[in-house]
Amino acid sequence: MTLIYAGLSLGAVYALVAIGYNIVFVASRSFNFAQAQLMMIGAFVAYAGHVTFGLPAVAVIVLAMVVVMVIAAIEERIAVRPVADHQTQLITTLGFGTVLTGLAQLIWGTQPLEVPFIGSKEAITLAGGRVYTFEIGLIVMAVVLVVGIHLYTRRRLNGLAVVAMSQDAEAAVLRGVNVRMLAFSAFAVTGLLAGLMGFFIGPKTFAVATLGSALALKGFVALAIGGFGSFYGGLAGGFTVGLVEEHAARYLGSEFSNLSVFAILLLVLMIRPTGLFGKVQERMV
Amino acid sequence: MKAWTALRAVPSWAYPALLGVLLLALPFLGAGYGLTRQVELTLIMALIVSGLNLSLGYAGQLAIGQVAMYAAGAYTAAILSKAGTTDLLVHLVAAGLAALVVGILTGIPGLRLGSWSLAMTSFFLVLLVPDVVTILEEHTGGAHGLSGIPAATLFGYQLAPEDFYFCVVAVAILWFAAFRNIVASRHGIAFQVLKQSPVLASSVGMSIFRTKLAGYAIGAIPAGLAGALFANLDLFVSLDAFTFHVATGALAASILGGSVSVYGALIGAGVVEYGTSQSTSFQEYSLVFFGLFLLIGGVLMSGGLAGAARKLVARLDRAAGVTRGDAAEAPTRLGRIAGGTLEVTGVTKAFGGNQALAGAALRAEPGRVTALIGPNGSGKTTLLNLVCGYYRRDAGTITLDGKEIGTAATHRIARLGVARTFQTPLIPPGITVRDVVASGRYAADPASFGGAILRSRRFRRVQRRDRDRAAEALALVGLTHLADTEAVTLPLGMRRLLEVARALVAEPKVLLLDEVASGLDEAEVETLAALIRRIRDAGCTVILVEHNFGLVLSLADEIVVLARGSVLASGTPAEIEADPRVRDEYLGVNDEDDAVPAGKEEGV
Amino acid sequence: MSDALLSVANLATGYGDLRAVWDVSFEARPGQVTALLGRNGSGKTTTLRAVAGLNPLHGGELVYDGRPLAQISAHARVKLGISYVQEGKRVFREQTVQENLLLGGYSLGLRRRALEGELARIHELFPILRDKRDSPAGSLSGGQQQMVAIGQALMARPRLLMLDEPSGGLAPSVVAEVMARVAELKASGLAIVLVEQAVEAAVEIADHVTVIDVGKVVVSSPVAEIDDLERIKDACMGR
Repeated sequence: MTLIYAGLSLGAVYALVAIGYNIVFVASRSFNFAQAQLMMIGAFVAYAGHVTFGLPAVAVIVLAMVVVMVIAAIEERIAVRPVADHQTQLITTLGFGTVLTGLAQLIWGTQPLEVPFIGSKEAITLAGGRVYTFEIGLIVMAVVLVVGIHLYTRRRLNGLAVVAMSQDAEAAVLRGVNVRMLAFSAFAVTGLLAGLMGFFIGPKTFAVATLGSALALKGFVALAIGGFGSFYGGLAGGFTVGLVEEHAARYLGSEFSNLSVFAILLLVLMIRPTGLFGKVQERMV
Repeated sequence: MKAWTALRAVPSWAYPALLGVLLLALPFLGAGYGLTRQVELTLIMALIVSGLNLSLGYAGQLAIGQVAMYAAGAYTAAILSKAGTTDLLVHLVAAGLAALVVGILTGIPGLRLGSWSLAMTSFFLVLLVPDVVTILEEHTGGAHGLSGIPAATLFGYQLAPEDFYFCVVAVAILWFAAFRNIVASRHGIAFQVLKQSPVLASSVGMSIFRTKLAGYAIGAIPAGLAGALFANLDLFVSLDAFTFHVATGALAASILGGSVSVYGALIGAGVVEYGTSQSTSFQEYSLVFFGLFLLIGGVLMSGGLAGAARKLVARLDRAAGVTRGDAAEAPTRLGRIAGGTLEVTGVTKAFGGNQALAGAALRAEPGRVTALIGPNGSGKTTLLNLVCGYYRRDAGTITLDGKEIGTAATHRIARLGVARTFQTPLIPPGITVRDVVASGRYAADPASFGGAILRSRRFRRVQRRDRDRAAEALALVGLTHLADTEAVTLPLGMRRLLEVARALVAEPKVLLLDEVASGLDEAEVETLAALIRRIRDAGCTVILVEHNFGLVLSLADEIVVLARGSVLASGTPAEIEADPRVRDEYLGVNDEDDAVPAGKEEGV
Repeated sequence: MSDALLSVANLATGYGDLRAVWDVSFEARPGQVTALLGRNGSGKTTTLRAVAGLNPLHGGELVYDGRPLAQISAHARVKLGISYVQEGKRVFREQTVQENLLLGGYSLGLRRRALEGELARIHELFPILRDKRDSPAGSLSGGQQQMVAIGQALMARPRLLMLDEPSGGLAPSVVAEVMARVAELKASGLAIVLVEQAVEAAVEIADHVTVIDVGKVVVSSPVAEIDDLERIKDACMGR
């Protein structure tokens, strides 16, 4: 049971990355390579807020969210908006992420920093397994976010508009939707969420500059399993990756955890390239 | 300007050749160890970067995992060496193969899902390098690295560090020559066509998947070679050389130097290597720099330093009045084309609740123009796309010369002899009119990568034929004088003619013209009509989808009228013109009686 | 005349640097239908796209309700009351009929609850859409999708409605149904611009006919003054 908790909470981290990818993807069909780096910065800001400035938890959360949102907004303006095609956006967002990694190293060094978490530091026993409160927090947050986003896209008019513009941006414009503004907002919101996520993942992953690449990749695997654009799929994919990784590390050895995740990625791409929840679309001329 | 003209009279390959000679001569010119080592490291980096250029710049696939292939090459060579095989040639071959295998194994799944998945799968490889090295610790030395590698030999001759320098330079020269030959062949054009439009690529007979895979997998080879050289340079291999940091640096070098270039890799690698070796602050800030290179390079899309150099050359050319290429007019006679009979029967296709085609049929014969007309939404384009294999039909058969083709992939149908033009001409940017036409030959004669690299006799014969055919087609459509112009800059009318020429060089059995006259003025339509008549008279089967009723009446031998997905009428132009139903349908007279087959009506 | 809601004068437009429309002028008035006719590729759709703000203005003037449109972005024009129904039934296929209609009212800036009240108007016009409320729009028949598309446009409470080939690809009985609705909308005081290939159906409800060929106006006449429909038809066939 302990292993399952560990897997689910790690999976929640990946699911959170996948959520970030998905929001941007649904809103603008782009892929934000720097998503995980945004979360990494969030974790560092949380560290700085807790340890360096000694702020209360609520202030730390707000600080992380605002800082990362501003960074994401800047990214949209300089790395996404000026670039027309999605292939090049991969390069520019990767570049932006690399700059963030480089800056984080310059500011905070290369050693992992432990981010404290609110609440008990002791593991508690639940249904026969040991689990930390922040791990429960992570799982709950991932699930709540996905359900919340689902409801938003069904209930709120702006949510409907985002889904609409992902299908046909021009038609959305003709219904009065300011597509550019909404895409920009979606990007900023992923920044806001990434800040929040950084606060939550910090205690689990620590704040370390190299966090970005590993998270980016595992988050992508979660996305590939779940299918692009599917939030529930990303959640399921994240949990799958987390569980596989923890079980592989436990039973095969830690050097097999990445390999087994990679094997799953290849398997999914070969058998069902659109993911478990993805749709097959016919090519158009 | 005279000096410039003289410089440009030298063949373009002479300059890199000169650089190669210069590098080989460097030790004799009194260069010290520091400089030669710098050159070696730069060339090794340049090999990795040029692999990236092939897959990113040419095949259009962002692959960040070159470092993993580099590692595969390095460890392969090191392990071979430890096992007693020290011959550098063996190392290079084995390392190249190892990298190729890694490339193919990850490229196949990676290319299944859009452009991001290859970027990610290949990036993932970098993450896996330490794990794999740890798992194979007894061979690889794990985290401690593999030291005590015996020095390389060549044909039994022990290579001193000074000798090894020549080997590195030689490998780099050979690879860059091979790379240049690929890029200058039809494969290079093919990559650019594919990058611009997969739809177009498959219509000239390219397998999108295979071409992308080829670009990515071949791009792995130089990284493998670089690995073998690296292992034998320091005789020590450790994980430090294969990090994300290095991977990002290689990508930054590619973007900086210009990823759609052959020699840009040298410049980019030079800058990145030099910076890393010279200033400690560059090292500290290197990730920030790399990131900025990617960001700025991507946003400006300037083609990197190589692109800037090309623009400068073009400007100097204009100033000096240098013209390139031949001006000789080829004969404009159109040879005999063996047409094929295309038969479509009972084809249906629905998109969601929309019945686009309901039992459409068509028979097009050699030496005849069969026109397909009908109001908007009647299913003409859908039918065309079914024939070309872009859509799959729900029912019915499509045969060419009696053979079923309905379910084949687009590029296979193209190879069977079905060529087409597009409603909006698809012309890749950055290539000349001549190359656009030549790209239509992709499926006509097979020409392998190996042949292109070695410039085999067969390759040269095919290339000559490609050029001749392209010249003929250009003369036929009257664009010979523009052969060296960048094709996208032509006005619409000429781009349409260019598309016809591109379709013709494939010597198709069936030529599909999709609204080829739309947007043209009267004179242009006349030119086009004359051209279509000549193609028909040469024996080709021509299918014309067209709205211009006048053009259709004057050009077609047989007209098929589609209405709401099925055939309303067919016959000669005279019959169709006299058919009141056709005109009513075209102009939308509401008539419930016989216009719609029973049961096909859409419910309200 | 000054009572025009929209007046298009010497419009030139196209795609990027590719010009498709050279010189088109027409007007739209409340309670009237202006039919834009012409063969395919003549520039009708490009004209509508320019009015909607999707294509750039290369030359000429667009004046709506007394103000020039040139500097107003496409989504803001919807707020001003310009609704454009594109050809090919472009509905949001994955979303339900209800969601499609609600999106149609996006520009009103109302809360969802208030918007749901607006649905009644559309349901009255197209009762079938009430029954199909929760079906994905992509699963509907062509005629029903066209109704969703028109319904969407009407949700925005437009003053100017531009319909691009509403009859395209539909069975005759459906075309009649759609045209009957268009006539009702006209009677309610909307200014309507109708692009059609179905000449007779269009002329039947139109007040003014403008025929375009190769991006230029070749015929422009009030319907009342048309004595020979054949002349219009010939113009539409490009002869």
